[in-house]
Amino acid sequence: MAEALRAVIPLRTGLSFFPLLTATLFILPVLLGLLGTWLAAFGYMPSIGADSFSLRPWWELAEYPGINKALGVSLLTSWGAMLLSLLISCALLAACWQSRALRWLQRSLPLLLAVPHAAFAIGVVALLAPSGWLLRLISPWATGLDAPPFFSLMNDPDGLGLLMVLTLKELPFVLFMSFIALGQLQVERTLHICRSLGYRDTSSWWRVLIPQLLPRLRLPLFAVLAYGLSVVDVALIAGPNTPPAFAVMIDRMFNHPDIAMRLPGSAAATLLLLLTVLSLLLWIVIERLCLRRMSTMASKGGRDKCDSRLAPLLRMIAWAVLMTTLAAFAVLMLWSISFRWSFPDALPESYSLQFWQRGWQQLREPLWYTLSTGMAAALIGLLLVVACLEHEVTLRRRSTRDAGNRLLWLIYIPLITPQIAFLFGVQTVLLQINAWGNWWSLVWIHLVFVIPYLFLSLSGPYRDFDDRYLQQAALLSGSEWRALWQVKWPMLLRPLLAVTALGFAVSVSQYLATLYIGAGRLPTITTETVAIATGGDRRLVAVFALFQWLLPLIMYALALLIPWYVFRHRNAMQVR
Amino acid sequence: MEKIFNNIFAVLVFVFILPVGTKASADVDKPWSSIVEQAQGSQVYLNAWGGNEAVNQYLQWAADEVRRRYDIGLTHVRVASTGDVVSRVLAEQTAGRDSGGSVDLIWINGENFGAMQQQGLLLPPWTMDLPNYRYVDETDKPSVLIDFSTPVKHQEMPWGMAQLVFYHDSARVAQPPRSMRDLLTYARANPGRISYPAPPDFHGVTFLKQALLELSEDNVFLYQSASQSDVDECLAVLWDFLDQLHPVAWQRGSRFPVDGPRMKQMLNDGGLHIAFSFNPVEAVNGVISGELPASVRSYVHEGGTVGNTHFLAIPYNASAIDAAKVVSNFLLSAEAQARKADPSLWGDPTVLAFDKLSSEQKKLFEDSGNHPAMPAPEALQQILLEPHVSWVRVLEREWQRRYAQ
Repeated sequence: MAEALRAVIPLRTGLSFFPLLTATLFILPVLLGLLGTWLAAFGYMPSIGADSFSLRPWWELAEYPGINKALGVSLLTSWGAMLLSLLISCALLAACWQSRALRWLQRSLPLLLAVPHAAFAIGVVALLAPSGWLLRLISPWATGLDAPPFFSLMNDPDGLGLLMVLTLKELPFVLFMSFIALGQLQVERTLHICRSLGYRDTSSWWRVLIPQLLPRLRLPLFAVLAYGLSVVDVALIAGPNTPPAFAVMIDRMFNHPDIAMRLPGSAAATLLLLLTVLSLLLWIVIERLCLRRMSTMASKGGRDKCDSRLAPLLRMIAWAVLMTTLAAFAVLMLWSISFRWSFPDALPESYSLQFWQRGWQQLREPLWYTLSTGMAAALIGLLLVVACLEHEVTLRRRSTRDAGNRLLWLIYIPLITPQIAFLFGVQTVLLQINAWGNWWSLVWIHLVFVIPYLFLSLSGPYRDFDDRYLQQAALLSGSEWRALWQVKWPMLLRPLLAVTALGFAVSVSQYLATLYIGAGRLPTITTETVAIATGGDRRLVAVFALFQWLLPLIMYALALLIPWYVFRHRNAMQVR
Repeated sequence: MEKIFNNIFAVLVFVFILPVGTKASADVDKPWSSIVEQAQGSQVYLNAWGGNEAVNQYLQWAADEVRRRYDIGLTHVRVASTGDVVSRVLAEQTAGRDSGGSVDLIWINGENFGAMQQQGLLLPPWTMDLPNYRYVDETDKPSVLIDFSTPVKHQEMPWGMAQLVFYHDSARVAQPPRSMRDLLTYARANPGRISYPAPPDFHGVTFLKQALLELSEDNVFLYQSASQSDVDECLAVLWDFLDQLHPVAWQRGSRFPVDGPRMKQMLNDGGLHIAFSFNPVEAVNGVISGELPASVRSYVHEGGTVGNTHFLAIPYNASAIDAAKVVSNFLLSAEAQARKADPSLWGDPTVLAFDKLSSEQKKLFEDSGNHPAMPAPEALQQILLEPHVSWVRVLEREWQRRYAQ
């Protein structure tokens, strides 16, 4: 049997090339970009006539107006959003496991995740701003207001509005990753055993399951922290402006008419990277401390101090997350078809479809670039990730010990490196080889961010696939290719399509990368939307944001419908 | 499979290092007709701020027209700020890309123009060769020759005029304040309803300039380089004014609107009582498009407001220089300028001199109708010249140091 199998499935040495290639192709730009930024941070940027090393950029940075406040805002929003989304996720799991609210939330997670950050932020701001829909709905009858109030939930100087938008957007991500991680734990059995020992479910969660969950969430939480520290588009839309969040400030320095500002800008980008690394290290320490505390608590054996009095509140939060997203979508829809809408009317006075028509006219080209870049990045990414995972399968066949590839953790680096810390350097390199503003360069830079997400979400289902199906099929058909095409990949169709849609969504949401690498010649729906988001005509902004919102949604719908259609006659392939 | 990937890799490498085959033409005295001829089939990338719907529509019209008339493709690259484009051209220069650049035309003025001129990023003088340049009003609109105290030297083509114009909703505010002093009085009577965009936003800096011009007893120093004056002494009157205004301003001066268009939204919602724009017909456009209530009216301060010209420039390394000139010339034509001045389309005042136009050309302008939200014609004749460009940086920095910490 083994020999027959060997005959059909040769040792696929060729595949070993893929992990190396994937890692190199996608780490190289990050490293090169970082290097360029670091040199400039220490005064070396020959292209603008700075050719001696010095600490001056750092002094200039220290004196830059508003820098302390900007750093404070960024740290508060990134850490706040990460801790809040983690805490709420864990509390929801512990208190509401098996509740209707959580199940609804779980089912809608892919939909929530598919919403691009910028469109989401625009929607939430349109909902919660001082002149937002929420206040319009309850004014003037409940509030007595005929003009927007002076307090504001959005764009406040301390970044609390930004913190709220980030938390609302990251919570579904952390929850989604938690559900994936829980797939590897035996939740029901654990709860069952704990019950038999006299623990209530909520306390079993905090004592047994969450301590196992936390280490598995490390990478997603890193991504959330790093994203919060380095995000530009959401910070422009929902964040403060006097001073702005630190990453926005860096972006302004890089694009300042005074080119000498690039040096302190590079120093700032380096500082941001440093802060990110320190934040990640600090999180590891915090995680350890939490685990130790939890294990002490668990081994003490006390019963039921943590009851589930908070459960109703948490269920409300779960509903609120869903409702906010739906309401944000609804308010964008309303704005997009309104003509006159004065404060404090709950609904527009007059309607018009002209903004959809205009939006469509203006977006035809950006939509094309968005679609082509997104599909190319998703498909190339899929090819590379599948090849890497197949290589793993080969390794596992050869030896029984765990054959995870050591090189591959490298591809997560783009997830936890602030984009602004290396994009500027990448831009310079691309310019020198005449590939700036080139469509392939854009696809490539998108791949840098698409691949980690593809790998993160495909590796689970792919590794769980029972290799015996493939071996059986290979033996029967005599060809491994046929076994892959006719058995393995069709059986994995659902996750394969789902991650393709995810890759597409990641590509669509890229703002800074598209802006810096596209050279303004490859506008996508996202760069166009953010460009008009802060002050543009609200009705047109709404149309743009909805287009951005709907594109990934359509892809996810396809990813659901295609398997449903293909498997309609196959009972065992139905979703249970 | 490995082979397939090798092929893909080869394609990637090929595409990345594929050289862009263009060269700068060194023709100096080419007749216009041959410029038009050679421009055929070219693609022009016009980099212009994309935040205004009327502007985007107008450029779409222009693109259709130049495609039809000259077989030139015109792409409006929407940018969030002109500074981005300047840094892109600069990046190209530093990377040695002296031809085949990514920008063919750039909508520009003031500081960004000064920076590009100083860095040698602009095409040598060219606008005087455009057939339509002779209609430009150089006598009554001195700002077409001096852009924020930087001599234009024919390196950018005057495209439109701008002037600081205030507007208010007459249903909420019956008598708007007509000077900075009155504005302060108004804010004290109506706390929380007056603001201005935070510098370095352009509208915010313009507000500071207007205040400085109105409040300084003698403003000669503003037309010299800031380095020649004692900045602290010169600006004391401005900070004194703002220190009084902020406690009664929107959010007590702890926050400011992001930019001019955001002020428009806030005025529409009733959050602000007064907004302003550098586009004299901003309010008219807003009323027509439904963004502002029909009761909105425009006005300027007594003694006039800051005004300037905005231009189109061609970077030295543009890919389609001839076509960029043809497009510029078209945008300077009476037809294109009249359409631009029509408040129902854009409403950007023309740079042309009426007395130089034929009666037929004048008629094009007369067709653009009157509107209640339009500023009075005499209001637009009181233009205060822009201060020296060096004051922009000083105002930005000093303002941020004081109020954005």
